[in-house]
Amino acid sequence: MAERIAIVGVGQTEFKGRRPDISQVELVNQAVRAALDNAQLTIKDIDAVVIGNVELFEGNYQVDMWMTEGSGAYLKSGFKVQSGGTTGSTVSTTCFNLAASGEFGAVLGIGFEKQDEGSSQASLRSIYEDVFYDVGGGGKSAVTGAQGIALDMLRRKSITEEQVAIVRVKQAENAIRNPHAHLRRKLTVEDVMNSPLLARPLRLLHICPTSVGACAIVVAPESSAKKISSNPAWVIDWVTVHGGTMPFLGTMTQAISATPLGPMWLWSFEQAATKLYKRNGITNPRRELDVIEVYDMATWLEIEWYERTHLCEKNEAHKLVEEQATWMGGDIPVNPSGGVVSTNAIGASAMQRIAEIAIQIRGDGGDRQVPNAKQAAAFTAGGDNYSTAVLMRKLL
Amino acid sequence: MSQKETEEYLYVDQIVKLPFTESAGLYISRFLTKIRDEGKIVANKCPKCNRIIVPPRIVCSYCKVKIEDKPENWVELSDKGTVTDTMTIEDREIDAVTGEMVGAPNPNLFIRLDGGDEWTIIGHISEEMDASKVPPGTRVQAVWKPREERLGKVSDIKYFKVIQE
Repeated sequence: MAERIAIVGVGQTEFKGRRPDISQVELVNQAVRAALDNAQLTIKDIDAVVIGNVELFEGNYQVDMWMTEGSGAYLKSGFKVQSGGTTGSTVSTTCFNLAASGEFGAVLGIGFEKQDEGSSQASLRSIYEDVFYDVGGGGKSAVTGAQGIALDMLRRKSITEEQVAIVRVKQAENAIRNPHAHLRRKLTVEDVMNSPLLARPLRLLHICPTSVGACAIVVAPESSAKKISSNPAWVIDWVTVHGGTMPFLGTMTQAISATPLGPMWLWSFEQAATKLYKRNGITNPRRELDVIEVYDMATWLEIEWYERTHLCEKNEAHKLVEEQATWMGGDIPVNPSGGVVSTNAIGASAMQRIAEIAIQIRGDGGDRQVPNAKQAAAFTAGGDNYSTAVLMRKLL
Repeated sequence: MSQKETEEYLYVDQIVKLPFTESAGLYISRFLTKIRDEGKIVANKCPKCNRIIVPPRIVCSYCKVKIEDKPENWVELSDKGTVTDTMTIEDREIDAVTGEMVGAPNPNLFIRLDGGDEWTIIGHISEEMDASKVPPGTRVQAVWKPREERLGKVSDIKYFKVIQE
């Protein structure tokens, strides 16, 4: 029988576009120290360390080895985990599994990216096998992937371009309240509507930045969690789903095109969400969850996720926007952190969704706290079709 | 050691080149040699669900069955098709390693090829530079490079041109 587990510590660095003043190891160490301070532990209390960043974004492999000085992994259990955009959430769920095994008293998870140092493009080029690469241009895939989703949403009349701009303004408002967000500038609908077109209908301000930063969490099994913290965020359940084999194994050009089931790489996300709901008896997530965090690599994705997390019916995301239901004062606030659109140090991003939910459940949200958050969820997705859903509660 | 009033922070160069080549495997190799030698696009068909898959795959990702290398499992597609999606990047991306522009400036097309089914879609580029003139539903055909210039790549097809039928 697995142990029940909780997040007992969360740490984040500041997030910026460039950090010439700090090395990767030092960056990671800042997040680790912040998480340990938050848990009121020292590195001696940690039994295993799991770390992740996206392979090659900094031109380096084997961070589990050369990051040890900063991560504190010396002479401890642990390893590196990588799953593209969802690296941070996969690190988190790996920590959950380790803690639930009962073999470790406290597990430290770290996600980081220092995107001022490397070529994300070089890595993106090498992540998939695609015989169409030489005509499509691998570097286009991330943006055209989001473009396919955006076009699909417009076709379905799920949302209008102006409503997307309204959501972007909301995302900026939330980010301004979050001291760990990267882009914290107030925006207007006009700013968004007039920002440069990248790939119709995607505009520059719809897209996440490239950020530098690190996030860390401390996860503990029930037996030690209650000793470590009087206010743990209980991780009730977590689901990971890989959707990468549908409909065509590995063929990105088809993955992002319109298919009878819509753009392909959204399916695993919805499957993770519905499986989480089913296993935990959640039938009306909009009513039963108090706050959610989603991995929104573009503003359009936050809105697509409204439908895929079943906050509303298919093609009805616009209703949530009209009601401002997902705003901080709404009945189901989405991304009080400001989301990925405001901050995207990729290896940290997916962990930040989970970390933010832990912060909200523990009531540590400060200016961005959703009042009385008792049950909440984090959903993450990456272009490599790997999706994670996590459910947390204030009480076991 | 003296402490300067304003510290100077340096980035240390670490240039990574990626000279990889990937084995295409039997099915993709055949797909590419057919393009090079015969100017033909071939697909294969799942014996269980009958889906026509391009480029050909050794396993149907739905049915998880092996698609044997038998003549009845191979399908020759037309080089004509119908656009299902049109995509353009208004500002092209710059490769951070080489400083070069990534990909062609032409609109990207997703094309459902004749002779397949609704899933038989490939990605390629458009001859027509104005994306609004190649909307979904447009009929297009491959324009092939001359045989002596073909290398066994999908770019042996220069682009797809709009056709009137």
